[in-house]
Amino acid sequence: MNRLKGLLRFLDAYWFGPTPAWPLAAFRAAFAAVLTAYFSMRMWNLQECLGDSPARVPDLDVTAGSILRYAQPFYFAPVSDAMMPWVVGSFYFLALALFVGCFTRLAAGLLAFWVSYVSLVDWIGCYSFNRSALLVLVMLSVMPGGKVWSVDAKLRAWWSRRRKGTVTEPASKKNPPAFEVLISAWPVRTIQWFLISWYSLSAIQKIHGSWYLFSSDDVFWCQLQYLYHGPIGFWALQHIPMFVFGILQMAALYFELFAPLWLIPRRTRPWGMITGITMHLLIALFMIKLWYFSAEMISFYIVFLPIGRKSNAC
Amino acid sequence: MDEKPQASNAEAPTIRVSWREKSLALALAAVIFLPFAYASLIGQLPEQIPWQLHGFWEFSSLFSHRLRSWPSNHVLVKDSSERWREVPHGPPFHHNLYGRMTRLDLLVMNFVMRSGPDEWDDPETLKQKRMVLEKVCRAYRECYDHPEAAGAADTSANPIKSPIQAVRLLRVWRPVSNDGPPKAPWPVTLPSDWDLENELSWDLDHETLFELSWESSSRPIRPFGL
Repeated sequence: MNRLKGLLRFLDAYWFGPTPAWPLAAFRAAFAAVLTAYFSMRMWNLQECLGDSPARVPDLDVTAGSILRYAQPFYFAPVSDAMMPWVVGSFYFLALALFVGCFTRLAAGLLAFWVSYVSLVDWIGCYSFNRSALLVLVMLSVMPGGKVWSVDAKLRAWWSRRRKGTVTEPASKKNPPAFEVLISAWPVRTIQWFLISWYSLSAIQKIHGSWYLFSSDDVFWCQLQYLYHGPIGFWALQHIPMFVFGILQMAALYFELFAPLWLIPRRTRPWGMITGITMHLLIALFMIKLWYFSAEMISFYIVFLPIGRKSNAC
Repeated sequence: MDEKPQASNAEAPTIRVSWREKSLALALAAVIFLPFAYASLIGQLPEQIPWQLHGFWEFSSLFSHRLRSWPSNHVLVKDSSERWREVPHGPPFHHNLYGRMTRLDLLVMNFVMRSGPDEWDDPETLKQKRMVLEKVCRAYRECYDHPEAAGAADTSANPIKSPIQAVRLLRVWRPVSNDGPPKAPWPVTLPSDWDLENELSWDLDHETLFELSWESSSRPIRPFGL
């Protein structure tokens, strides 16, 4: 019984204990920047993505039993020419609000709504980025992402000064500098475990697919020749021995499968972060047009900071 | 939210979190993680979650399968000179969404090629697939019938002459072997020595998708079962 109580206390301290607020704020800003870059790229072909183009599939009235249910779960009409500037403008307005932390939760919630809308209008063009971004925005819409480094924090401080009738308020225990502001750890833990579970579940799916734990079978080497074939990747295929790709593939599989071991303990975390970020940089380098996915994944590493500080101990 | 730090001592700051906030945080974690884990481990979400929402949690893995061969989609138009010619995906599909994948690839992959155990017995699904295929082919027909309007002006020595007689899609499976050297980069075009005139002389509807193998000597063309 005492052990159970001790475990519950540990879990309570781990999930709800104090942690610095700034990593969550930095993640919020980084994620908003990545989101802006990704959707700006999509908007380069706006008519094809959202408008009434030849790519638009009419309402097929798909039912639950149809094999096409994955291709058209909902039918959303294309965005009209008159509405297009509003759809685009609202995205940049909300992304900016999230970036600077102005009405942070509301901005994240409305952005989640926006992402779900454009994803449903363009469902076949909606892949991992849209879907994961939607979940992250739902998370941010209930998290205190604007506690520091935000317009919200400035407004709170201004309102507090105005109520007290002072012009400036010196740093104190009630008004600490941004680096020392603490929040409950649950938002940071939720995002950390989102990345960790994504890695581990992805590795399990790969093993269920055609990846092996003790042999590469050159999956990565073959994938580099397919849809994400880019000039740097092709150069690497021609000049780097095939076994190097096998080693990289196995390293990626073990890193993903045992992600909790590399990213949670404080001693292994720096090495885990270096390995993970290197893996995503190599993906961005070798595979064409996957830089936005790599940027999204790298942005998650911000919530594993600061390294070596007691306040973020697990 | 109650997040006031309580400075009991300087070494161990504490945070008071209400039960309400704890419950909401755990509920959020459950909504995010449980369907995500279930979809990844089992492969499909339970029926209790509406099927329309399943896709939102299904994104965990890229590149999970080794490719023994990979497909490429090719558009062939038969112009007024009665010759079959390969044309690029864009126009009308300019956008490379994922790597080299255009919306033509996505439409073929998601709507036309997707198959299930009872695919051949379901006339409604076949009708829907054919509708999408015909829409794609019609887009190319209109595009090359009015090339200036569609931005498809052909400045080559042997330009496509409207009106377009027929449009066909060819899905070619290209073997990937780790025995040989890496394959040449994209864009993948059909080999110039392929005899398209004879290969595509099937007496079928104009809008048809064919499948064939890249390296097969006899190159048997199989009209996709629509």
